[in-house]
Amino acid sequence: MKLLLLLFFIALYSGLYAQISIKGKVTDSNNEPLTGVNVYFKSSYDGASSDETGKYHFKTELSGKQTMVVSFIGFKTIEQLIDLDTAIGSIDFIMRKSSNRLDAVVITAGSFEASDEKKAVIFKPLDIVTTAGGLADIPSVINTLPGTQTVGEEGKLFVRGGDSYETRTFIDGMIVDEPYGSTVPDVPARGRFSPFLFKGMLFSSGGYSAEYGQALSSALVLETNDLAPETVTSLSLMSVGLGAAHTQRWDRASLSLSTDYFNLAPYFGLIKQQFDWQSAPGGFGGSMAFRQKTGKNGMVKIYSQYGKESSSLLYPAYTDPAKEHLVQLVNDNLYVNATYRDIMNEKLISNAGISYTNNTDDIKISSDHILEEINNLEFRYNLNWLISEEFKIKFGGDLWGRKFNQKFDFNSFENPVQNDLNDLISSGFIESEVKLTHTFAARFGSRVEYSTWLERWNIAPRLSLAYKTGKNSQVSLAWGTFYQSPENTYLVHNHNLRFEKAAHYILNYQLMKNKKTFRIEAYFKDYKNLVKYDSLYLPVPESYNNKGKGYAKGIDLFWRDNSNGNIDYWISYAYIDSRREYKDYPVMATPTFVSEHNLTVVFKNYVPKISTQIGLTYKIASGRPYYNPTNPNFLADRTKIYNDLSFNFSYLTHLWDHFTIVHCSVSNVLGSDHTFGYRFSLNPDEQGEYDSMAIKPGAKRFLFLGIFVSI
Amino acid sequence: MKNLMFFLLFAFIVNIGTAQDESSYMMIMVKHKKSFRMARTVQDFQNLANNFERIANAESDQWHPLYYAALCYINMSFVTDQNDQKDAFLDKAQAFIDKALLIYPDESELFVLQALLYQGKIQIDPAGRGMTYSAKADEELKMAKDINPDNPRVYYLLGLNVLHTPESFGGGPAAACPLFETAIEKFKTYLPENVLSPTWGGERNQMFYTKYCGEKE
Repeated sequence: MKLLLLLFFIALYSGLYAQISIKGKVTDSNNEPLTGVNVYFKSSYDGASSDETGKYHFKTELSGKQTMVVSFIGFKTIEQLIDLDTAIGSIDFIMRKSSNRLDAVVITAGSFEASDEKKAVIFKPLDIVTTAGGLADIPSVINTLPGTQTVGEEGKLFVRGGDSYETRTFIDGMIVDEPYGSTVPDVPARGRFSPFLFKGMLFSSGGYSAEYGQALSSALVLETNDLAPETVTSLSLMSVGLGAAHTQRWDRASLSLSTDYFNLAPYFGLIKQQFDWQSAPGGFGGSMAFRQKTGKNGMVKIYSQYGKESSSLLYPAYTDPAKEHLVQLVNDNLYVNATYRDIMNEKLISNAGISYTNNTDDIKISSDHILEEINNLEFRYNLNWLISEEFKIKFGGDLWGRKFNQKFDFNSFENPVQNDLNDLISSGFIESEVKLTHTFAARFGSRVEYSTWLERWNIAPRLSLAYKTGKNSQVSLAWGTFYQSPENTYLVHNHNLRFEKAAHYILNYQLMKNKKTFRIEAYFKDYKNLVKYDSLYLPVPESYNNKGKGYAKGIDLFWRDNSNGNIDYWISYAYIDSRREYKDYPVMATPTFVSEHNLTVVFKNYVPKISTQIGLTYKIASGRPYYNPTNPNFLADRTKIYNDLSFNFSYLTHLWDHFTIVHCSVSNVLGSDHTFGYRFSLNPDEQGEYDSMAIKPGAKRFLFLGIFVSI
Repeated sequence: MKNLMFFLLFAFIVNIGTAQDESSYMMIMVKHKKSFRMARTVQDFQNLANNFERIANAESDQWHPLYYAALCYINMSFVTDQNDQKDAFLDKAQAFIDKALLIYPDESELFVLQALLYQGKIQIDPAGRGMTYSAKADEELKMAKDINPDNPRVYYLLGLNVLHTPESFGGGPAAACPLFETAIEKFKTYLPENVLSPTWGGERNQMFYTKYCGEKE
């Protein structure tokens, strides 16, 4: 009896552990066998990897209904219920490609992205500091990409037939009101923000996301660094100034402080300048960046910077180049940006932000005095909801309070004149991104804005499509409507203006293979409601209207080859046909900032033997239109072809055991003559001739030397 | 009486069952760990990673299967000749490390593994990622060292980090050799906690030492 019972149990025991053989085949959607796929029963050791023919085979002691899991990198995991008690034949699986693969389709029309993290990007944040002629200035380096114009006397970004104010800079999603330093006329401005602040950049020359508003032509989206990696102190000694910075790193926080002083007087003393400087540009500034990790996945970032700079020079009067005015400029700028980002769970990311700008330009022209002050405050919140691998929704809102005060104290007037602008732009957007298949993606959304000053609404729909034509290539399309409030100088005088409007149509093809990139993009832009008035010299504010219009169409080409180890180069070429009738233009004409052809070649070579990085940048642009009063056709004259070869090198070494970079940069090595345009006097002299003056850079070349030491 | 016997027998069988589970976990892990030493190709590592992943899914309170699954994927990133796969392998490895750290946040070896992953990231794009990720790797290794100053892999990877940093940035063989040397000493005296504890690195460390630092009398 006992024996019987024991036998029974042994039978039961072995019965429990009876093995079933499981086999089958795994293929992809093209019926190609997949090797190395993990096929197994959930929460058990029982499983196997598929072999070279896609076949798998294993034994299991499980019984009843079990979940079978099929998983492989780059493919969507399959889970299937299998009843092990019924007879089982071959269990075959067809795996579908996952849409968040690195080679999956991405929306690229209109944009150049720079990132160290993402793989499929054309540009790297490091490019900003290593590109010759760029002098570590973000806008200058972006200017080597197609779609931008070389406007040497401004130094700002002019994108695809758009004026400089039509390009908007965003830091962590927040609008930057004054992205450039203030300068006296004909002296190019530099971007206010150091490239070392950012881990990612997205330059979009059109068709950008509904997340970004108040930009007619282009968006430059900058993403700030996370926690600073280490505690470090650095000093810089430059031909134009001095700087010091310290970064302290704690476990979950970091703080960086920096201060700098610059003065071009010694340099101008050595190298003769065309301009009649009374006091060379100089100033000081400081910045603070604080980062704190919160909770599991939260991050608080606070950044603030302050700068004060001044300069003065004798400048020929606009109305009469023979006469000179003393122009004095003092600029004060404070920028604060604070954001809080939290990854609430795998599907929800929340972003909140606040930014404040205070900018004062104190300008004196002879005995006239103009004081312009901006006080802007922005609140922003948005939510990214990753519903599934294929479907994402992003939505948010933004309040942008803008105050602009302008004070004129003209010698010729009895009382000072004051104009004030108080505007609140409220906006909201919603946008979704759908990956319909592994090869086809769509992004569509809309933005709505209301301005209290204009008392007007706008609704701006956007759409982008991308289709993968091969393993390494894709075609993208983008369309969208873009609005922007007129510039403050017009708005402050006139309540009756409306939003300026542009429509973008973009078609793009991109091929990326073995660290080589080829891109071609064709576009058409239609401008409406641009600000227009009668005369440049005597505008009547009441006559400001939105009757301006324009268009731009062209082709941008880009080639980058990064496959040769230490040698890296890119070539940008852009052809543009653009005309507009805006501001004081009496007829449709190609604006003064547009060159029909722009070609840029950037070359970089790191030579490990001498620890030196060498860079060369060559730019050639066809002539730009300028106004000639003796020519009956408006803006029909063209300047000479612009060409410039810039050179730089960075030598990495040690000074007293401290890591040191010696950097030298020279613009216009060949000494070509750069003429950006001409300025004519308002009235002809006795002989009926108009006095004119060529607009040229302050000096043929600019030489920069700097030593940067980490302690 | 019969009831009692029935009960005892049942308890015995159940006991066999669980005892076998635990010992089979160890046995299977040891077996796979042995095959890990033999793995050379992406395919070898992929199959092993799959094995470890299955075990990890079944044994949700063990960090070793996750550790080895991640280590396999990091190795795949090093050995594959398909550049566009490298990042994907590391992303997969990162997911395992993140999970393992949730189970066992104070394991020195997991920080070493994180540093190795960062070194894998550098290898993909040295110019663009070198600065950021070598600092990140350094930070992880510092944490690993704080937890267990006798972990030899800490010094081996610190050595690699320094070796691959350009001389002008304070790196190169001369600066790396003392670290490889310390690692050799630590590898000699290293006592694994149990049979599943990581043991890799000693030979490669010796190889780097011989190649760059020469024999010392």
